[in-house]
Amino acid sequence: MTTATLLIADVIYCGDIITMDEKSPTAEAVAVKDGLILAVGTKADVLKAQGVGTQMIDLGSKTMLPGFIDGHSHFFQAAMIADYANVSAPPVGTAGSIAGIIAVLKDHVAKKPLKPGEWLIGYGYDGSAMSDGRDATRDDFDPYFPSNPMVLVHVSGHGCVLNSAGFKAVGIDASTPTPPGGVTVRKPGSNEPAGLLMENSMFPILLKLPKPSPQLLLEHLTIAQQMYASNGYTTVQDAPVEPKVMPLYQKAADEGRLFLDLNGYWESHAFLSSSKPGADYRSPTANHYRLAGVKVIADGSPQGRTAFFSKPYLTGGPGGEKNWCGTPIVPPEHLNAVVKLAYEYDAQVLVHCNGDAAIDMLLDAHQAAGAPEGRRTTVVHSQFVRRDQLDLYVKYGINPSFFTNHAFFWGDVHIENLGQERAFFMSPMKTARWLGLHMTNHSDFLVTPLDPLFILWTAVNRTSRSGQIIGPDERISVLDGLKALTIDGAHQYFEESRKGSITAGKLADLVILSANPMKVAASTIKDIKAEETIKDGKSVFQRETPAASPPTAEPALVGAR
Amino acid sequence: MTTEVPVIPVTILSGYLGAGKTTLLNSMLRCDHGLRLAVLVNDFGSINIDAALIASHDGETISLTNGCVCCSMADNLAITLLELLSRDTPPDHIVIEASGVADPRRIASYGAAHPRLRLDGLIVVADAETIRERSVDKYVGELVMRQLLAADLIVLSKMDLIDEPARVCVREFLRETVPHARFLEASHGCVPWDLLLGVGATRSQSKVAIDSQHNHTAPSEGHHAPFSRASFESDRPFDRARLRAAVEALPESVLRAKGVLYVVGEGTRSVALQKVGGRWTLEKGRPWDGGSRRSQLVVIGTFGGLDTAKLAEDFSSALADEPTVESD
Repeated sequence: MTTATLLIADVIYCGDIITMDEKSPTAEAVAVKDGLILAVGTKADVLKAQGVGTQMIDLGSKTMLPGFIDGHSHFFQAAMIADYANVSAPPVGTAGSIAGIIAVLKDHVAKKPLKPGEWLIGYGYDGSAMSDGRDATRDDFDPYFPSNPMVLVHVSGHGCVLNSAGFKAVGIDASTPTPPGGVTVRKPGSNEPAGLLMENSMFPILLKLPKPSPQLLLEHLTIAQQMYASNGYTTVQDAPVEPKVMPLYQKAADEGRLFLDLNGYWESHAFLSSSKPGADYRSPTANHYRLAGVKVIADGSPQGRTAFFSKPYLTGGPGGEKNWCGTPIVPPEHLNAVVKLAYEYDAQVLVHCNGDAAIDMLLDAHQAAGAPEGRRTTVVHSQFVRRDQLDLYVKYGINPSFFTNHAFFWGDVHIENLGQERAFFMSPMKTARWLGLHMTNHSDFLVTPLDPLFILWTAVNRTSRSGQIIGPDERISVLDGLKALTIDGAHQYFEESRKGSITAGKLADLVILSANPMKVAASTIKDIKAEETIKDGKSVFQRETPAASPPTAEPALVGAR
Repeated sequence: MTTEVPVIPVTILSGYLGAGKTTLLNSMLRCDHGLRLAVLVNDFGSINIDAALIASHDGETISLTNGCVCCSMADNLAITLLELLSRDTPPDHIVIEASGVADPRRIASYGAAHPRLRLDGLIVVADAETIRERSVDKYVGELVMRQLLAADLIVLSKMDLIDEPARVCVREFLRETVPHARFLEASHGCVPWDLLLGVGATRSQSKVAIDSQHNHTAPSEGHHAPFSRASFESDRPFDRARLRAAVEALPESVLRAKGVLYVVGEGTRSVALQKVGGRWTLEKGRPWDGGSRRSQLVVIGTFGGLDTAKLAEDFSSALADEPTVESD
């Protein structure tokens, strides 16, 4: 397919290109002009657009794809943790031991020295993953952080570890009783708290932790975008957007602080009380921000046993409840009202449903609202959707946004909680593909890491931590896995005419990977890294050349050409 | 010697959508009960406070001219509770609205978690017209049943909007499905304060509106209340074991009881009895103020359900045998 030869490209990339365009899936070259794809195809064709000022880039051993599209995540959480240290164990982070955590913290503080009294905050702490075989204690951290209060938030969000300065700052000591429903680990033979606090013991911490100011948050949005860009994303999502954050995003857009496209979704209660008719949910992003619709959270998590099922969990409820199926988090009346109003306003509806009973609720709500066509209502997670419900997705034009990362992180837990039959059918991408459904696959960041190559790896392999394959029949091809991260992502946002594939006329949203995911061994897909990310023709991330050292924790932001 | 930190009673108000929780909360905030109530709601959307009563409104807290506050919990009950407790003048009583689909026991555990809070009552409001249907609903049936089972007291609202045969059915239904529950019927859209918030909680014996259809803005004092009250007093101390047995033996018609009691072996402090529904506790009370030590016990029960003579007899038998010379 030729292009207008009169136009001269700004940049031409030559090399291995996966276009995700069904008409011509691969290419040798792509030309970019004014932020759009000018031409893509054979070298011979594309080089017709080469002019004197054209920058020629040889991809070398790397592979170019369309920029990744975030099917679902909580972008704002990236802004919240911008100043925090990632003390997660591998594969999410690098801290597999207490010494590893200390190294991460020291590195963090070296880059951004702490002021006197300033909190050092880490996230992703998991004592069970420490090679030391024990939880970290204040004695581990005090020598390195004697005066600044330190807190490491537990990966579950329901606990934390403090150093001595931290305990002092929150006023917890040997005389503080352990509240009912709380866990306060104490030093052996003493009442002195050792470091780890869980559940209700954490209460006092919540008030004392510093909250970033609106101005700081605004600045953090840049770091948050860098985090996504360094993973190859060019379009990101925040769903739901808390009411307080909505004006922040608008301000960020107005001030030109956004360089990735951000799609935000109303929190559902705020939507009912505050949204007005006439708002435009369909137009393209203005200054990279679009309020695209509303997000409802219908149930909880399957690993926490708060997802809502039609048949009971094998293990009972989180409080020991028998014959436990989970519960909806919102009454059907609320879901019905939100769906009805959203359809009236032509706002897109995203509904978090993990268990099949929650999905039944959503399907009922869609039907009760008249089952209008073309709304691309999206079920976020849709993990334990039943086979019969997938047929209704087809009938109603409903999109699942799946979450195959669960196969790795909680696959073993799902087998325990739900039995093999249900667990193996989790996020059934193969069956959904066969039915012709448009589906995305997401990180749900912070819940699992952003890395889309890891997401692709879990979709293709579905291997759990213990090495079990969670539903071998639902493993999909790399190409189908990539669709869920690109073109179907664009489809989810009604943007398939502008994004999701490297096609002439579309946005020059591109990512350059360290290797070709369709050519490497399936087990090594997760080792592929984003080398460069391009948004609207401008490079927004470039990985520093490693030399002999591992990638830097804070990838550089490269300015516009 | 540690200073006494006042323990704040907490009432959990639970029940499915439309039962009457919101009407109840709105009335609690409006009424002249003399209590500095803190009402914690999920969001301000359903709260309907007269602008004239608002003293200030700061984001998540509305302060009322009558000394009450209404706080929006946003997502975090724990933080809201902690902020309330850290105020210079903490509230006299906290009422927490459990969302329509919440398991109130989880919320109740917060009350137990903090040394300055005490769970006073877990009240579930049920709409008499729809409760049976709701309890078998395919989506919410289980959670509605769990709410009923968690209740200290079930308040049946809208009983006067259904006919007598339907009322009989509802009572039957509750007796069968929640046999250990104590339930009471809101009369003409109202519930007495002391049933909701505890005996002696407010300065008046007035009632609070639960049913918006009756359009009560100020509960009427003179209304004939279909609940009985009885009291028992004595200068002689109770025998602890006998006291426990007497409390245990109180009939199902007793909805609430509260006592400041003089018990053998507790010379310097009273013993506080709190009973709501089937649940009761005997805990350290305030020190006797140098005055005479005297037990005072108040009981509220369903109309016609209190045999005051038997009550007096049972509690008299629980008094310790003479002589009891108290050596402090």
